[in-house]
Amino acid sequence: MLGLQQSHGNAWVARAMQRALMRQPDAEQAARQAFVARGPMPAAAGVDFQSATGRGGFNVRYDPATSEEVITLKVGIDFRDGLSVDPATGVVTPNDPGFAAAAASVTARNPGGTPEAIAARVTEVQTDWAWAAQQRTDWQNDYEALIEGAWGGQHHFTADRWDDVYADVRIDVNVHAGLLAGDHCKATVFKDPPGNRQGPGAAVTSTPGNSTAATGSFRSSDITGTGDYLNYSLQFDNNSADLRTATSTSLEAPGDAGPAHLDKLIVDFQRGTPTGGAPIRITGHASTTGDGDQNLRLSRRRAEAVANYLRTHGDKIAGSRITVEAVGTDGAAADERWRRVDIQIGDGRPQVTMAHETGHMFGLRDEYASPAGGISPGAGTGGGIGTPVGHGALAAAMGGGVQTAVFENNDSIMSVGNVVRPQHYATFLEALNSVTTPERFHYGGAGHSPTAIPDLIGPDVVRPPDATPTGVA
Amino acid sequence: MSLVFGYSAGASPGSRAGMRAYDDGRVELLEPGADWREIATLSADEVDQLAERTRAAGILDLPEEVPRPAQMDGGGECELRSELDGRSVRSVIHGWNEMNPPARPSLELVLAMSGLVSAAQTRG
Repeated sequence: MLGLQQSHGNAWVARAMQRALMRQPDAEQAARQAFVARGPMPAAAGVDFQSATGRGGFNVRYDPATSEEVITLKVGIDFRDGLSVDPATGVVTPNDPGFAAAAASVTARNPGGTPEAIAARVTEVQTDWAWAAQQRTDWQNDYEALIEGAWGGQHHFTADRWDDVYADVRIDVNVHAGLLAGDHCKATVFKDPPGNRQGPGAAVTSTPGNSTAATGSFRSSDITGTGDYLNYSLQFDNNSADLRTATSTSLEAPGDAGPAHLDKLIVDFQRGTPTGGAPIRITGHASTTGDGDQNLRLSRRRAEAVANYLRTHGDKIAGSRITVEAVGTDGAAADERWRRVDIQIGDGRPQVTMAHETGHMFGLRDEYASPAGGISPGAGTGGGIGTPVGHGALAAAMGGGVQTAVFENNDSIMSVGNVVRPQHYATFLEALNSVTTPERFHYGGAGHSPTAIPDLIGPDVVRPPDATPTGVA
Repeated sequence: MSLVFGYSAGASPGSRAGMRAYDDGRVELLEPGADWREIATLSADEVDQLAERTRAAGILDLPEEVPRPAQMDGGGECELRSELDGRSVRSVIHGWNEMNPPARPSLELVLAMSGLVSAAQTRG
C-alpha cells in the first residue's frame, strides 16, 4: 500500500480502493446470478443420496428458480394380508409370526368346527385382515398425503453467502404397488384392522452406502396413531384425591397403582438437556355426582396430588414444566371414568407410526429412549436420555442456532410424538449442500422462506406468512 | 405344571400380545390391554411337538438379551420364556422381525405354535 501511495499518489490509491469496494457487490451479484443460472442442481432428475448416518436414502435436487429443495422418496410396497383363512376348515393362519396371537384371538371369538363358527372366522379375516383393491389404493394415497404434509415445508434453509437465497423443502413421495430396483425403500405392508395394536413392530433396515436398499415392514394401521406415549390418566376412588388408591387407565400401561405409574413417567420424561423436557399438563376432573363447587375443588386436589408427586419425586422433572388445571365436571358424566387426572406430555398428539418410520427413510435415527423402569417403547435404543442421537452431529452443524439432538421422550417426530423440529431437517440440509457445492446453506427458520430469490428470476414472489410448523395433523 | 413355551411381543406393557402353553396342554392368550386367558388345550402329542420344536429353536440357550441389528430401526421386541428340562429361560429379542437373523428360529417356533393352537381351537 505504501509503495502504491509513493508511486501513484494518495488520491489514486483512494480512487482505486473505492472502485474495488464498488466492484465487490457486483462480484457478489455476478456470483449469485451464476449460481442461479446453474439451474436444477445437480440435474433436473436429481440424484440419489444417503446421509452420513447410513440410514435410508432419497433423491434430492435443488432448483434456484423456485427456491425449492425437492426430496423424492420412492417406496415400493408388497401388500400382504395379515391373516389368511381356509374357507373349508376355518383354520386361521398368521402371515407373519407377529400376528400369531391375533390369529388365535380371531379363532377364540368363534372356536370349534361348526359351519357357523367357520363362516364367522372367514368373514372376520376377509373383512379385517385381507386387502381389497381399493384399500391398497387408498393406503398409498393416504401415505403420500401424510408424509408430504407432515414433513414438507416445516423449515427452510438460507444460503451462507446470500441471505436472500433460500431453499424450501418439498417432499414428493412416490408410492406404488410392487418392488422396483430403484425404490429407495422396499416395504411390506400387512393388512390389519384400524386401531389394531398387535402384530409385527414397524421396522426399517438400511444398507450403508446404498441409497436404494432400505427395506421396511409395516402394518396398514400404522398410517394412523395406534400407540400413545404422550397421554396418561389416573382414575381415583369416589370423592377421593388419594394418589395411593388411584389406578392408571393409560393405554400403554393400564392397571398401575398411582405412585408406581408416576414413578414410570418420571423415569421416561426426564429432561435430556438442562433447558429441555417437554411441558407436562395436568388436568383434574370429577364426575357429575355430588355438588358442583365441591367437585371443582375435588378435581383441583386430584390434579395437585399428581403435580406434587412429580415435583417432589422427580428431580429431573423441573417444576417449571408443569401446569395444573382443574376443570371440575366440565364435559363430564356421572360414571367413574371422570374421577380422573389426565397427564399430557408436550402437544399430546399420539404418534403416527408411518410418519416416524419415514424419518428413518430420510436418514434419521430414533430419539426416544427406553430407560429401565419406564413405559416408553421398549424396543431399546441403547442411548441414555441426554446423550447425542445418531443424527446429533448433523443437527449441531446446521447453524442457525440448531442444537445437537439428544435422546429424550417428548412430542418430537423421531421421539414419541409428531412434531418435525429443526434437527429433523438435518439430512435434508446435508443433501442440499451436497448438490449446491461449493455454495452452502444453513438452517433459516421455521416454515417457508419469506420470498423467492428477488431480482434474479423476475418479479419477486412474496409468499404469505407461514403458520408455525404443526407436524402431523 | 411348567411352561413349555411362551412369548409376548409389543412395544409397551399395554400393547403386548402373545401365547403360552403349559405341559398339561393348557394354552393362554395375551391381548393388548388384557390379562392372560385360557383359549385352548393341546393334546399330549401336540405338547410334545411344541417341546421338541422349542428345543430345536435353541430357546433354552438364548441369552437374556438379543440386540437389534445395527442397521435396523424399530422392530419392537419379544420376550420368550420356557421351563423345559428343568430350566428357567427368559430372553428378550430386540427387533423381533424377519430382518433380524437371530430372531428367525423363534419366529418359526411361534408360527409352529400357532398351527398347533389353531388345530386345538378348531376341533372344538
